[in-house]
Amino acid sequence: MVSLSWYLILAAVIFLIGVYGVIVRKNSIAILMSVELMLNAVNINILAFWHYNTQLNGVIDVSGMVFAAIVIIAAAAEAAVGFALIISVFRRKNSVVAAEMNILKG
Amino acid sequence: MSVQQVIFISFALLTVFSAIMVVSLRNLFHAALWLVLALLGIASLFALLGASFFAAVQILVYIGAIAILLIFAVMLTRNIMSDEVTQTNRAWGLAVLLVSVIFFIIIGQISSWSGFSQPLSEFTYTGQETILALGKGFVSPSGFALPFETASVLLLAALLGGVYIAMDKGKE
Repeated sequence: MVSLSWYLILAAVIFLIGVYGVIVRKNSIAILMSVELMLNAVNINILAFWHYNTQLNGVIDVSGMVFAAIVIIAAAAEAAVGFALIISVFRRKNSVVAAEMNILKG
Repeated sequence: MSVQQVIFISFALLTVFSAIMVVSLRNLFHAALWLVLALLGIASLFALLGASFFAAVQILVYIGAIAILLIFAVMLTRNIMSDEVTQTNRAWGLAVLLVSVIFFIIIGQISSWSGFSQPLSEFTYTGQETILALGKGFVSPSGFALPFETASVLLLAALLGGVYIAMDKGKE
């Protein structure tokens, strides 16, 4: 039987791979890909705890599923706005490197 | 080892390997394709958890929409960063150290909790019952109707904002 700890450790590993990607990558599109990985790791955690809570209480827990759905909605909104910003910066500066996005610098 | 454990381990290894490829490959287009595989592995883990609705949503929303958006963005900005240039900054050693320290802190913290090694038994519900409960929770005013409507407004605002930001306003 798969225990809860397996899911939690796997989610921690995927989340930290995402953190590594966000810290290390230069290309802003690659940074957004790593953010997607992090959001998915969070969803694994939420659904594992949803399963745990449901089997503990014997009734289907709705709030866990609602949390997971809202994380997916937030991820879709984040991807839409993030790529629009990257395309917009790319038009102005002809670059997608995160370190060169310094238009707001005083 | 039970069948479930074998399935879990194989999908988990597939997901972790694809995730590592996503953050380490130089060719961004290949990284995006590995991301699709990682998302597919996560979808199968959702199915293993009994959340069949979220497995379907993961494939529809992430692989169907977000990954395609990603691949479009990669192709639109393709020839800007050539694949020969190193794609990571100098802090990668520090980042590996930081990430492994955080990993051991997280595992040390949650392994002291009593429910940590609780086995997850298989649901006796059919897939429809959980979806029915989710749908009723989303539309009932005493449940989550307000967060649901707020989320749809957020999504609409984000998409309109995305179109406005990325719009070509002409040369000024």
